[in-house]
Amino acid sequence: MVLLVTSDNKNFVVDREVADRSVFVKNTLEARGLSIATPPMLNGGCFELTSPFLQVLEYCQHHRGEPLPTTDDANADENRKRTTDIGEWDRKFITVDHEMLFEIILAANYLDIKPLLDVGCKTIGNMVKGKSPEEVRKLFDIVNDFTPEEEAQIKKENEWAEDP
Amino acid sequence: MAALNPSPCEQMDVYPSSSASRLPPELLANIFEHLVTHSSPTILLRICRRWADIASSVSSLWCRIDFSTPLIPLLQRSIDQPLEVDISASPISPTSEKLIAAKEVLSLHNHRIRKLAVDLPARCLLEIRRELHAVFPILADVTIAVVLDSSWLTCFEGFSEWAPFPVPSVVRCLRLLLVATPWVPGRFRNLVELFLHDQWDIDSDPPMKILLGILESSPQLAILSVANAGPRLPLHTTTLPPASRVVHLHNLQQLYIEQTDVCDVGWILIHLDIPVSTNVRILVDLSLCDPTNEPIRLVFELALPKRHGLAHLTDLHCCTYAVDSPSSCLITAPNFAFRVAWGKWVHRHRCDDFVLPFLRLVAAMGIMEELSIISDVDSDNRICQWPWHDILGTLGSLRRLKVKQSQGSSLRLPLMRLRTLLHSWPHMWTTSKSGEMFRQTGMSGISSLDLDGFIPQLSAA
Repeated sequence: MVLLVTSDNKNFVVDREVADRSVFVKNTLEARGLSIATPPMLNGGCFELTSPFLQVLEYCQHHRGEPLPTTDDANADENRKRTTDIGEWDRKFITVDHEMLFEIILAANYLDIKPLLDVGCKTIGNMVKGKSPEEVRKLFDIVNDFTPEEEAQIKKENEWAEDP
Repeated sequence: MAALNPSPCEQMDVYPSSSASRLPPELLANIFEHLVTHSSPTILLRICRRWADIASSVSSLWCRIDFSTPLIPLLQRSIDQPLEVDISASPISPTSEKLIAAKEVLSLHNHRIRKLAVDLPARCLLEIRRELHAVFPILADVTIAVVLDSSWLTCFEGFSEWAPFPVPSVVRCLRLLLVATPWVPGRFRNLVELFLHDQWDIDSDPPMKILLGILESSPQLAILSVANAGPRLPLHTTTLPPASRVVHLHNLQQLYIEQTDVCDVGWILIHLDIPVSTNVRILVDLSLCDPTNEPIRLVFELALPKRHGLAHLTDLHCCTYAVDSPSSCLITAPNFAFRVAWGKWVHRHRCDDFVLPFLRLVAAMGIMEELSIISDVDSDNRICQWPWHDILGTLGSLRRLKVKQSQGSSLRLPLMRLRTLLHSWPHMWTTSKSGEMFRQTGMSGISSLDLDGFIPQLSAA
């Protein structure tokens, strides 16, 4: 068993197999020979991590025992990025509000859980797919900081002249 | 990854307006990479300055050239990354500027093209053929296909000239549709995937020579798909000629064979020695043949573990090529699967004629564990009228029975069909204990019954 401590000093006791889904935690434990992992960033108090951490734990528990992606296989990495498919369980798992989705992505990135990071990134990628710039801005509450002239210029540069 | 990323705090100060703005550039780039798999990256330039800056700086986003956006910005942003050129994604005519651009990319950037997909009308294909004779030192993935259009017949003779196409030996994936095999003996030692679809020249005399030659020189082959590109035995052949030689494909993971005539499938199979773990899928047109013929039996028998090592035929899909509203009868087992689909035309005329004999044949093998019946509104009555008692009575190995309806079937059908279906096995429903209900028919092993969500009140039967 491993004790994981989040930024707001919440303790989570989990199986080592579950904790090892995070390459960051796995490496930390192996390097220090510890059974307690206190990620330094979490202690900085940047943001509350208990909530996304619970989600991340749920993900790790569900996928415990599955083979971890290899870090040195460029082809496998490429293939992972190319597929937009998300498994049924993962799809339900990641069906959360935008705020939580981004929190999960940040947590997965920090804890180095590549499969979860992929699920999060694919989900956002799928949300953007087929939408107009305005729709994307609205979706993620992004401010359009281009001037009208800049917008027109970008549009012009990226449009192929239609065939006669 | 964790060590490389800045703290989210650093990002929040600069872009405080949204959740998305909290993502560091590396993560946004990661998301963008997922996005551009099926979308043009140019939309990323039009969201906001931050997204535009990040997207412009990630060269890997701009490597896919499909001629839907101007070429120069793409080539500039991709810097020296390997390119994926897709000359099929965008409509191109022989007089098109896009075709000129395509030829330019092929001739000027040939050294960094890693993936090439050409799927064009015949006239356009002939236009760019000259550029395809350039050297492609890192080309690993090639798809060349002809779009059938009015120019197809007039250009047909030109296709044979594809034969000397100098596909580099580094190619790992080669997919050819309606174009001749660029066969050079021994060239494709690195092939991992090979798709040969609709090739008329490959059934030259002797019919299997070219195909076997390719396979013999590709020891790493993991995926093989042969569709209308193998031998052409005379229709209604009742016995197969002996195999001239057997090719050993020890690394094969997936084998897909699609031939109109089951005899051709059988002939390909007897020439191959593949691992028992290979996932084998076969598509044939059963309406053309007599199910009692020897080639058909051979295909089934080849699926059995004790013969030819083909233990894992996972999907034998038998249909006509006129399927418009397919109904299916799917039978699976750990080492065997048999799928029958038929269209309305076949259903009306010959469905029972060829489906029932195969059901009986599979039943006789005694290895089937799962039977799934999928029907549509047109086939419901026919399926219900099949002699299920006779068929299922022989299925002592059956463990799971599923009844599903496909789209188009009436919503009322599950209950009605179920009743009709079960009327043919009235004695099966004498007990509420599922483990016992099939005892009288020798099917006591059934542990799972899925009747399209309808749970029968067995105790009241």
